[in-house]
Amino acid sequence: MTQADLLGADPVPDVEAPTRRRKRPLAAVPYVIIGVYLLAAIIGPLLIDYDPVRTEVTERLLPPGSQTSTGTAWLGTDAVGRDMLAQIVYGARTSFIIGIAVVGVCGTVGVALGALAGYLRGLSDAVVSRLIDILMAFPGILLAIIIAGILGRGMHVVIIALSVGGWVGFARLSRSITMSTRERDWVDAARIMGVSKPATLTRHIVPFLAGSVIALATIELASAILAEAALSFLGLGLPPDVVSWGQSIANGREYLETAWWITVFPGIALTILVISIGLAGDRLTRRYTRKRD
Amino acid sequence: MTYYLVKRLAIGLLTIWGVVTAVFVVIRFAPGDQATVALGPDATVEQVEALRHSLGLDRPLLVQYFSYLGDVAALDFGESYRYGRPAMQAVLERFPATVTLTLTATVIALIAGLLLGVLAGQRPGSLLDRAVSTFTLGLQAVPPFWVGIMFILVFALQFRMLPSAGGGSPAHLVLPAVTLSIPFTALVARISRSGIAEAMGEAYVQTARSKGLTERSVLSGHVLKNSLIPVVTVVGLQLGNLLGGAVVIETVFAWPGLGSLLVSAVGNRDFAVVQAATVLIALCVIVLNLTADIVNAKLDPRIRLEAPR
Repeated sequence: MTQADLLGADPVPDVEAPTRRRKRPLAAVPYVIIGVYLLAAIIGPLLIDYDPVRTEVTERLLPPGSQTSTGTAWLGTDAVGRDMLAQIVYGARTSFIIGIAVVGVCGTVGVALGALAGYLRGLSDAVVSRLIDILMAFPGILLAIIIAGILGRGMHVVIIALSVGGWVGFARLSRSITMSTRERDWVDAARIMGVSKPATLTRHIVPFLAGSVIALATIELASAILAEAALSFLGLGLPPDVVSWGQSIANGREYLETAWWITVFPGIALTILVISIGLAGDRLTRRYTRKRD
Repeated sequence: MTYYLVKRLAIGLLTIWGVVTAVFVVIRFAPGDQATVALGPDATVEQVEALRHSLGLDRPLLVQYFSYLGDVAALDFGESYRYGRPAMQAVLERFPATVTLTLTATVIALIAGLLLGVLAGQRPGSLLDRAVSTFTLGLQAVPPFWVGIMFILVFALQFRMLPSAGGGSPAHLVLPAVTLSIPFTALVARISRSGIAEAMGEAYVQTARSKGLTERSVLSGHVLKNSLIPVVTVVGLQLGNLLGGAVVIETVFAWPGLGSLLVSAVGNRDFAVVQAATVLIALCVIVLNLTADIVNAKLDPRIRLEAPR
């Protein structure tokens, strides 16, 4: 699922519509999975004790299910004796914090710029559109690599790096919906009744963005989480004491032959989460996408 | 057509200017002075000052910016302190490997994606369609860099069929190219599926069938041609992201291309190489997008690349 799917509405009429009322128990699965991850991210760290800088040399590279001094390492331990399950739980927290922050920043900036450009037209539209053109022409992950690599380390650096190119999708979507909504009768009516421009925009146009923006935000959350993992995998952005799935995957590469669990489990955790968010986003997109120009 | 090309070229130049300026700004924000980093911790204050002077770092920021823009226009990015020769030369040396990798990945994505798209789109709503669609959704969501490592684990370490890292032989190309192609295979599959599914219901397909053509020639002669157009559009637009993905995948497989060079240059603060690589990648993306537009106009006579009236 990409921005393109949201912008160019699905041309095939939804033939399944009448039968959709039928209960599909599997449909809830992605939401349940996302819920479990969120719970793990929020309360997991309260239940599991994990110190990213504490090392236990006698307990290094233990396979899944081994006994350690602090209990059973269900998913094994890494090269310095840290528990993998705890790393995955703490990594979920990092992924959500960064993903939600990036989507929050991008959504706010993108919707504001897109709606303003689409509503005001003229110079502001030209400026925003050229900015979109520029950022569209350059791969976002590359921009993030350069920014995160050069600016040093920290969570805020990663959030900035991923947000610089990430707002474009929101801006494009908001601009195109605003441009078609502003031609509608109720907007004319508001103008005739003397409603001010800012009030027209916020009360009569922006509410119509909500559905599509939420659908896009879901998809962008998945890509932000993936991009954060890729950055951490390359060793850019996050400081070493922040646990991240990408970093765990990178740490395990040296021990692939002897201790596959260090690389495999964080990757599975990442994949399942991203697929679930993608499925949820797909469904939201199908619900909110209408044919528009 | 001319108006359109001029407009796209102007946007292209604007993009390069934007990228160049962004990199300049980010580098100025970077913690640590370039000269100090380049000389290492043992350098004396005089040495650092001398290097700052020869790099022009002691001049006002705006002067630095404009002289830098002038250098970029002349494709002169200065010396790479790491490689001890012009940065552009170091970057161009790595360029062919990246082109080989991305081209191979594109071909794989097109073949595999179209195959999946045809399988799914022929009978929309069928079991096969749903199975393929679920599979492509999975392909789109898996983190490619992790799949790459899994490939190394299975094909290089377990079965010892393929080399795990490096470049030089066709065998080295297989794993990175397949890994890089994964998200694009999914993309091509999704787009061609919806195009084919839509075309299957069109009147001209019915006409072709009622003429007594086999299902095969209906597909190849009538359906595929029409549903290829959106594939070309999207693939053209996504080629930039393919290059972005290559940066990560090259690092996974130690593929000796532009991407792994860029990542290590970012780590080493070799700013000359970072700038040269960035500009080259931006240039590539712009040329690729433009080419895709032109190919599209050739494929679909309804698209006219003209001035809006």
